[in-house]
Amino acid sequence: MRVEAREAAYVEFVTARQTHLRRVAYALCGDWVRADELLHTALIRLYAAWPRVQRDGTEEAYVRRAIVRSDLDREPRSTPPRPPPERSELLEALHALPPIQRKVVVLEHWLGLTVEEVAEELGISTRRAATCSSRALIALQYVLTREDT
Amino acid sequence: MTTDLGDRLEQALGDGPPHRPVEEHLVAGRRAVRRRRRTATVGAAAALVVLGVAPVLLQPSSGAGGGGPDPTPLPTPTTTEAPTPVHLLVAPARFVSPDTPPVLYLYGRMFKRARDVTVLGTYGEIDVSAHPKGAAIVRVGGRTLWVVVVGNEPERLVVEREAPYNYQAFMGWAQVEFPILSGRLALAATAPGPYQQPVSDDDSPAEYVGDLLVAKPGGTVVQRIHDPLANAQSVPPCHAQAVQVHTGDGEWFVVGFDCRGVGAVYSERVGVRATTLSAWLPRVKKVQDAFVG
Repeated sequence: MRVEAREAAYVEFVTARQTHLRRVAYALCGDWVRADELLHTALIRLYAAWPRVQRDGTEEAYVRRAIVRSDLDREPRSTPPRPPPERSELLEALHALPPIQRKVVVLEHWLGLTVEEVAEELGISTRRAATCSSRALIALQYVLTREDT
Repeated sequence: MTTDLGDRLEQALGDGPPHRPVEEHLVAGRRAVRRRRRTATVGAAAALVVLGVAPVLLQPSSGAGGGGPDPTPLPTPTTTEAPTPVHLLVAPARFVSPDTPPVLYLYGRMFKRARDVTVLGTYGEIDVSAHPKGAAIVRVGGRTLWVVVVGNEPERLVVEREAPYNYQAFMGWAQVEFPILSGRLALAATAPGPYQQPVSDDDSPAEYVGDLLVAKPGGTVVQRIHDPLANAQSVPPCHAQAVQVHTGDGEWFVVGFDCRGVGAVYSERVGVRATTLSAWLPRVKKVQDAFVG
């Protein structure tokens, strides 16, 4: 593939999907700066792997997997301390979950992946994914119920 | 519950602040690929690739670090649509003087000189290394300029050229200018005494005539070394030579390269850091290795 064609396809994909992918990152880490950094790192890896990933038609899954397998709670690089952003109670509760449970919630309950797909995406067993999912839901139940009343 | 949770998450998540330009991902991706290739190939092969590309990409420049051959036509722009401006902070007034370039580095972060500078694109906007290097396409006073900056204020070097917006061509040009400017800055910043601007190619006592580094009129080459020990990025092995030149103004060491009429020379007076050419070259290489990488 010629470099120009490859880069044009890459730019087209990034332009079309970066908003959604950064929201995924934000849902996972709860910080837009860190989300931006996670997405940037994932897109760099995507560029390097582009011919293979595009041939397989797995561009979005590749970036999403790179994001979910990152160390979500590491502080962003070279940024001054920031005040905590204003977030809904649901997001606060989501980000209070352990990272693995957070990832399962986002992948399964927001992005609609099956438990098997979640397990594969995170590199864990199906059983562990299911356990994380039910524990996370129990933890979030309180917030969801309270918002209803 | 699952759908409900999904819907509520969808509602709770906003779109966040503006995205960084796609070019930034693209540029970083290219860099990652280059890094990967570099580790997979021998250094000499990598240098040859650079040399093959350099004459095409390296265009004449102006400014403190400039010099070199007469202007030649620019590559035809392929990306001419006006991009979304990049936000850069305006530098504090105490760092700005009449000769401040449109963009400058302070503590590893790129700033713009004044509000009237519109930044259309950047490369290496944040570089916290000891000797940062970055570039920007700016629009100021109705002109579009490509600017390469190396070094934090006030010890910095700059080249500028007027050219239309074309990010790919700009990147290629910047990547060739980086090692040359860094190589020049290395000499100036590590010379004993107060910082002085490096000697430009125009002020050098030597220049390339064809494939040979010769003394300019009034000077005489008293020693010559072909393929000298040097930093391979600042002085790629493209007719690389080092000479000692005797002029009416004193003795000079000069090391440089020339790729089909495009290159650079680095000049310093004898005695600044060495008294013999063979002792000067490894010292220059050492400081250029530190600045260029």
